[in-house]
Amino acid sequence: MVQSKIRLEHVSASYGNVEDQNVVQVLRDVNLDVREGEFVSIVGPSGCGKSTVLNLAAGLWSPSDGDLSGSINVHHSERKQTIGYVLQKDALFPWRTLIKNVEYPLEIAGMPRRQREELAREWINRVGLSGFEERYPYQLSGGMRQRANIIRVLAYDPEIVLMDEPLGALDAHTRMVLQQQISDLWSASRKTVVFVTHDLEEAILLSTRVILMTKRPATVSASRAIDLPYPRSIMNLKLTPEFRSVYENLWNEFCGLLQ
Amino acid sequence: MKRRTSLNRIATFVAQAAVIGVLLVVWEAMAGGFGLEFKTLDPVFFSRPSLVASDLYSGLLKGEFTRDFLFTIQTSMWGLVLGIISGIMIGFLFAYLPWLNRLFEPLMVAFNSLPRPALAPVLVLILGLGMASKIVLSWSIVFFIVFYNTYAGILSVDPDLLKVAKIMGSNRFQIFRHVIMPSVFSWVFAALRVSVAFALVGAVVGEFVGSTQGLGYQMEAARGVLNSNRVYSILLILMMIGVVLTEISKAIERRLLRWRPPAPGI
Repeated sequence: MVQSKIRLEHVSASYGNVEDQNVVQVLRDVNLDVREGEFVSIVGPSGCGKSTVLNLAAGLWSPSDGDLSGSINVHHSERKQTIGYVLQKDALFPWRTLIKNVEYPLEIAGMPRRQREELAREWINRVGLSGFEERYPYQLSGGMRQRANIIRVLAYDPEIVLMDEPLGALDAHTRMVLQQQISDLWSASRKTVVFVTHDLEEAILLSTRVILMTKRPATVSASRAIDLPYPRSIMNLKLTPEFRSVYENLWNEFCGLLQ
Repeated sequence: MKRRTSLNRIATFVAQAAVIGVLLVVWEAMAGGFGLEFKTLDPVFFSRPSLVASDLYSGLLKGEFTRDFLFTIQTSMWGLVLGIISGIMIGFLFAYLPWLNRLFEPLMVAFNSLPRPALAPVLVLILGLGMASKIVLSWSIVFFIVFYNTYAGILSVDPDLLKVAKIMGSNRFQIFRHVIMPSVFSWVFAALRVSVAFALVGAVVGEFVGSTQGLGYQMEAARGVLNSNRVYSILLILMMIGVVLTEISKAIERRLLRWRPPAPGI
């Protein structure tokens, strides 16, 4: 029995409080079960509350944000750094060099300097950023920064990785390169990943399971396992009939949600 | 390409020097230099570059500026350092305690709106002719610059950085040390050049109003006896101090804020 890592049961959430009469309901009766080792993508119209799901899983909801009901269970060990969160905007520290950025969570965890430097270098090398260790974020391209952003999270080995449209701001080519890297990194580590995107194709290419969410207030409208083998080649996979059939199948449903 | 830029720089430098040279020559000529009889500018008030140069030279040789130079530098540096330290501390205090900020806001706005040189007579009255009144005047200008920058720096900390730092397990102290402090210092150091310039303004204005020492005092004294050569000599020294201090703060800024993208050219 594979362990459930994130479980949302009948979760409803709304921002704002009743007194302002400015309440926005974002989630309505959301049921979600992410199991260990799954790569789950959540796809839905923009602004539908996908990010809210991630924030809930990361424990970033505070009562002052609004109302929340239902039960949320996130299973992880007692370690401090069990959750990794990759934001759409690369939140690198502008005053730290690339390597110092990757080292940051390791430094927080109290890893000795030598060891964390070595580990950071290893990850930098893995995504092809060697030679840029001493550059500051402003000296890196958008794709490089997002790569740094991702490995900074993976380097501290969290049990659950949450990604909020990490490739949303990149150009088509860079995007594909990073999709391939994310896919490779995942198939090597088999971590539990929840990946939010508005791009259905991307979701299918990367995931073991795709979840479709409706417009706001959002609820889960479909959950499909993607039975395509790993390791995947993003470029070739797109052209296979297997991919096409999964895609067409979900596409109709996805379009229905947009109306 | 590289050769061309360095040639360009030399050409620029020569042109800049020429502009200054021409202005000096015109000044010299108009004030009756080069043996000219016709004086458009009365040298009693306008002096002449050659007279200023010789006064400056002999003054420097005799060490007539040393004591006042040190006095002015000391007062402005005290004003600067105290202004920076207190500005950062109060900035943090106000940003973290909003009620305190609300309580003092009208007072702060009022004081900051006050043309600071107008404080000089009051400060001299209270603190006397010594160094203290000048330090306080200098501080009163620097403080507000640093205070507002610190405050703005704290409020403008990138919420995404805070979020990320938090998820990565940083405690409150680590967030303060690794996220808030660097953000605030980037604001404070970006305002360093202005702070240094204003520290000097405070010191000199204080010396004008009432002092027994300092370059401002000496200038005022020279003016009283119509020694225009000396007035201009001191003006030149103050200019030099300003240039040197600005260059030093630029260098500090460049070093400490090297992670910032260079400002776009105009």
